[in-house]
Amino acid sequence: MSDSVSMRSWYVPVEIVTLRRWIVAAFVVNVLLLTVDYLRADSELLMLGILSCLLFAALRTSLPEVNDQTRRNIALLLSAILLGIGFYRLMITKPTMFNIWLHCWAIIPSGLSLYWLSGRPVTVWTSRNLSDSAIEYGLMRNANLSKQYDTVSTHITLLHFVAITVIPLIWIIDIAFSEGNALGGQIGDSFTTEHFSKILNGESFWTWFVNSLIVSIGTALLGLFIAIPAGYAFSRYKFTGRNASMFSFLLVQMFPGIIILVPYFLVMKTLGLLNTHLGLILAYCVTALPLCVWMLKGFFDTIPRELEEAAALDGCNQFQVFTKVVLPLSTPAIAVTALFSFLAAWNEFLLALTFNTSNDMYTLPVGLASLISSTGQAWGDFAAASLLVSLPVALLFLFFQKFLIDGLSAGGVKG
Amino acid sequence: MHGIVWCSSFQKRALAFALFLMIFLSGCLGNSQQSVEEKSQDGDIVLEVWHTFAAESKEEEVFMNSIIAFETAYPNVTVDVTMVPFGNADQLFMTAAQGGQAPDLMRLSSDQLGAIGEVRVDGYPLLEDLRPHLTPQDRQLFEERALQAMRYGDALYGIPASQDCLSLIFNKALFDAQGLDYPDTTWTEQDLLNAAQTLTYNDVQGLAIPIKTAYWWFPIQEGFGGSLFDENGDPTINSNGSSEAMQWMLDLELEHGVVATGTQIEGMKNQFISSKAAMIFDGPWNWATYEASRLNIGQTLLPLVEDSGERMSPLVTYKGWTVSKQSANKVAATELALWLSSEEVQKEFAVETYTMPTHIALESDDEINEDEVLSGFLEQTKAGTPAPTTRAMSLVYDPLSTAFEQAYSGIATTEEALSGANQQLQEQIATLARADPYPLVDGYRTISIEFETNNGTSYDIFVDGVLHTELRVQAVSNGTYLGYDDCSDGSLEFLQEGQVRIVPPSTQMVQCVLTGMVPEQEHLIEVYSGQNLLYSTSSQTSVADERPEAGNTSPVMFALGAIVLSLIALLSFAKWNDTKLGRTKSKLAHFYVAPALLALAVLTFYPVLYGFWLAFTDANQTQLGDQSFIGFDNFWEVFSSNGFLRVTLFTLIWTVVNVSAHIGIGLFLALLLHRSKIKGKVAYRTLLLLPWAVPSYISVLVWRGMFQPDGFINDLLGTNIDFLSDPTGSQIIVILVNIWLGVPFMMMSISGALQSLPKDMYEAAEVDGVYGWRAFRHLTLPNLRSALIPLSLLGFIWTFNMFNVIYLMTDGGPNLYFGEPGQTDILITYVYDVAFREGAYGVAAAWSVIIFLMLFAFSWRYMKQTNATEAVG
Repeated sequence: MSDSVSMRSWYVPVEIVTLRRWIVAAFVVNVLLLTVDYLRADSELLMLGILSCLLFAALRTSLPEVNDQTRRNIALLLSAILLGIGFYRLMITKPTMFNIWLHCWAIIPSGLSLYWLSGRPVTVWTSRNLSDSAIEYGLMRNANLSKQYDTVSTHITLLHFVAITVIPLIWIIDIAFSEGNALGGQIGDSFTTEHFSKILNGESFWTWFVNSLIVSIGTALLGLFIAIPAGYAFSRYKFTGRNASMFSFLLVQMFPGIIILVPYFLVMKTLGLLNTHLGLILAYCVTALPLCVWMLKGFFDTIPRELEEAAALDGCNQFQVFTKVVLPLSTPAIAVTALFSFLAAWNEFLLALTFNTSNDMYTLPVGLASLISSTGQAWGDFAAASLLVSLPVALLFLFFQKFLIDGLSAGGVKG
Repeated sequence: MHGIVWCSSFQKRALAFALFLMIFLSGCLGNSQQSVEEKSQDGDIVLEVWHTFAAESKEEEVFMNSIIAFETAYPNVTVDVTMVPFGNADQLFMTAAQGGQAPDLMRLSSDQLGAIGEVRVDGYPLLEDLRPHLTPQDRQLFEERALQAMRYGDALYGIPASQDCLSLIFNKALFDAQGLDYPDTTWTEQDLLNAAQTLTYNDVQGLAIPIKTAYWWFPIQEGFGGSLFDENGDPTINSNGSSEAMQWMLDLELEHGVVATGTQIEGMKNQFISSKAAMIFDGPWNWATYEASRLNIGQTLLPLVEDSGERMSPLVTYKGWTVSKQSANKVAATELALWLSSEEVQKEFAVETYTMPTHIALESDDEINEDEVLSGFLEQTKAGTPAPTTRAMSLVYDPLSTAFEQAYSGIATTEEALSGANQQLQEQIATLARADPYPLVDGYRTISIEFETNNGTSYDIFVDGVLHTELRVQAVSNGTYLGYDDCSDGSLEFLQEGQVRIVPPSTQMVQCVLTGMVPEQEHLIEVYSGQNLLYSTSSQTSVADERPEAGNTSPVMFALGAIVLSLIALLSFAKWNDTKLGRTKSKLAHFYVAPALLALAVLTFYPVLYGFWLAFTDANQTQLGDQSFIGFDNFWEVFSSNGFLRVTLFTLIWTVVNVSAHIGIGLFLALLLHRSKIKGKVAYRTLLLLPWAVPSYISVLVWRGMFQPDGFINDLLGTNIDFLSDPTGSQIIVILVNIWLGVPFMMMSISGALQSLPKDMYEAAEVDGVYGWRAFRHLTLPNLRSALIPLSLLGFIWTFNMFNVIYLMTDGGPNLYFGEPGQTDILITYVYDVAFREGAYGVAAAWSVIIFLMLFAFSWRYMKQTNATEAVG
């Protein structure tokens, strides 16, 4: 008996659970979208928008609890009004993709709310006491559906973020494949691969590419080579000068770099590192070091000390403990730092430009900048080259995710 | 135990080896570089040339061909060509010059000359004064205006190779569609406006010009009777007609709507290419692009202004080849500069790339005169006003841009705005650090001769059988002093007509300094009076070239040595201290840390210390390399500058909002992808990471394009808002764009850190009924601490010093107040302005020190608060 009471208090139809979240989401999004109405300076739409937001807030508070038919009816009414306003707003604005999406954020949540609140599971749940078997069925149904609804919500959320992420990139792709060299025009109004063939057939692109590759890989490797021992020492040992050294890694990033380019140039010249790959590799390593050392230190901190002690008891020496126990467990952090160092070198412009006075040593970002003339940009070539620069990185992202996901779960740290 | 000992000694050796290798490698590279330089000195001459033609462009092709032709003609000269990105060219040149690595030759524009004309490195100018190098015959090959534009003060810093100016370009099809006659040279500004109004219908605009850009206002100002400077070079940007011109220009958009809202240079091009604008003011440089877009276009002179009766007169700027003061082969370098500005090369450039020539012979060249575009634009340059090559001219743009923002946004009337700008400019000029004109080396490349006249009508000086200087006897003359070289009767300098010297009839004695002589070479000098040989001598000059020895690296070497030694001493002391304290376990710790610290110290300590020292000196661009200590003056200047608090406040808002959003959104996405079991996770993650992969340079510019009035965002909204000219709007937008850029990195880093969370912990928690927010708060967050603390700290430092986004999106603008930072300036972008636009390096360094101290204080506090440096062991 007590069991079924607790189950009864537990049981909430999945529709209500989902609505609780999504009405909040709809409220937030609609508040954000008020900016659009504001920018359009359309007072009617703005008033309706504010009204919708208030109604969503009201709807969220009136979502029914168990055996609460009054609130369900109020919620139904509110949903219906919201739906009406949503359709009205859709009708009085131009039917562009963007407007449809915008009003979907009012129409779909309110429509779903109307549909689900009037649906049988919610009606039954709010109107009468459920039998134990009905609740059991309901819980089973919840378990099945909630996974599906969660998946859909996750996809919707991610798709929104992906859209914001990708829209400027679509623009770049469009410019790269459009005829002429303008920065603008409509998406997909012309198609050509001339920019790509121009860039790829030019000898210099491949020189830049090879330089970038050497410098970036060199930076990632050398960066790891000096950051891993340092990170490990900072994580595991107490020693004199420890805090000061850790802080000194941050210090050099605090001084604005553009002001001290000239002395930096002189240092490079003194060391004979101008116009060399090694010079850039060292410079980038130093740029990436603070993050690498600190990230690795943080990650090593999370690896239980006991594991190393166990390995030492098994007869591993310190070096073996490190390479056989600590390193494999740190794959995700090493992957992230390597990627970071690689990209720090791959996308860096100012140092690469300053320390190289020969075209043979230019890296891709410098090469890209030299596609710009004094009289205006050849945007098509520029966009095409940018895509070619980004492509290897995108592939790298695909490749590196393996390490991100396989890290600890493959190592198996239990206990 | 034995194993560990072996292991540690092995590691020591490995470390020592690695260090040795690094030092050895760098040593090798240094040597190899020097040997290249040595080789170039004893055998053939190697000239290093920097140019700014875009890679893979037609210009570059023509240029490379002319270089090859030069190398064929001068087999003992090898030319090393380096293409330098245009936007960074002058800065790069200055950096290289301070390091003693300047190229022999570089292509600069007259406005760049105005900016760097007073730069002194170790007391030397950057560029060679070419006056002693060119003979009068060399000089008279070029338009006198062009030659004058290459002068800064008296010095001649370049040989003019091309010129540019705006003209009226129109789309014939759009005129035909409205049944209008094409514009012609009789047009007045009213005709232009009338036509533009007729042509503005549907989505077509009658005219497209960037109405808030000073360069486009200059011709209109001239047309309305104003001028930028008076005869003394004092600014008169608020002169008669100037404010009318500004009002007329702004009204094109605000009153008449013939120019689309917020049109900028890129927008102007785009509108014209897509036939959305019927007329533009543009230069010849884009002609090829327009033709390639299959537009049927025409060109004519800018219109007259009815009231003043004057024609709108565009600013003419020149580009030319300059020789570096540091060049070891100035004779050959000058030869190459002349080659690159020669008739043939200029013609090739003109015909192939619509580059307007400056060579006199090309004025009467048939091929050029028959080309409608070339001749049309050449006529426009003749109706133009040469841009003065002065420091004042290079300073004109900033106050004017503020004046335009003020007038456009209605803060001030055009009169008020322009007189404010004029006052600001005057103040700037008055407080400007000035360098003394740099004297010529007496006798370098010159030979002085003196001969008595024989009452002839003209005297011709020949050098090695080639005409060098012409002198004409003439009674009264209205010639001028051009001051390239020296020819006098012993006391009074002869006037010139063109490059011909006017000798008063009573002159007994002529003294001439002959320029363009080759050192250590015997020259036969003959003076003819008509057909009679009057004077003959064989002479040579042995005065050597003067070369600054910039970039002496021994002090740096000394500093680096001191840094390395003190670091080693510190580490040894730390190790000794640990042994004393009995920390036996950590005896290797210092060796683990040493490589990282060493790399850091060697490369960055010296520059940072140098930056600190600079803050206490009077370093500015007229005395680079020999600045002196002045105490805290720079800091007072910073604290008393207008807008210091405002910029600091916006920098803080910028940093806090950005870092919170980066971490918040990054964490949210990382968790979402980590926890859920949906399909396509890899695809989602890759897509979400993409902003990190694309060079920020282009993505930021694309964002800027998207926020333009005719951009994507306005298309979506169906509005026409100029977001970036609104102070608050632009602030929000730069922050949004930076959030977009920064989230992927945080997401990736947090994803990596999430892998350290034990999965069974969550399982246990779920059994205990801990889900969602509580699980996040009590399980996830504490476990992510070790990653989030350094990420947030470094994120804070990076964002605080994030330069690119604001520089590229708004360049700190809109600039609403004179002499103050713009509305979207943060500390770092403002420091850049102070350093590179005003040339006040000492003050900029003081700003940098303040930035450093702010970040230092914050980081120190944050680390104490979070115990971030704690070790586990």
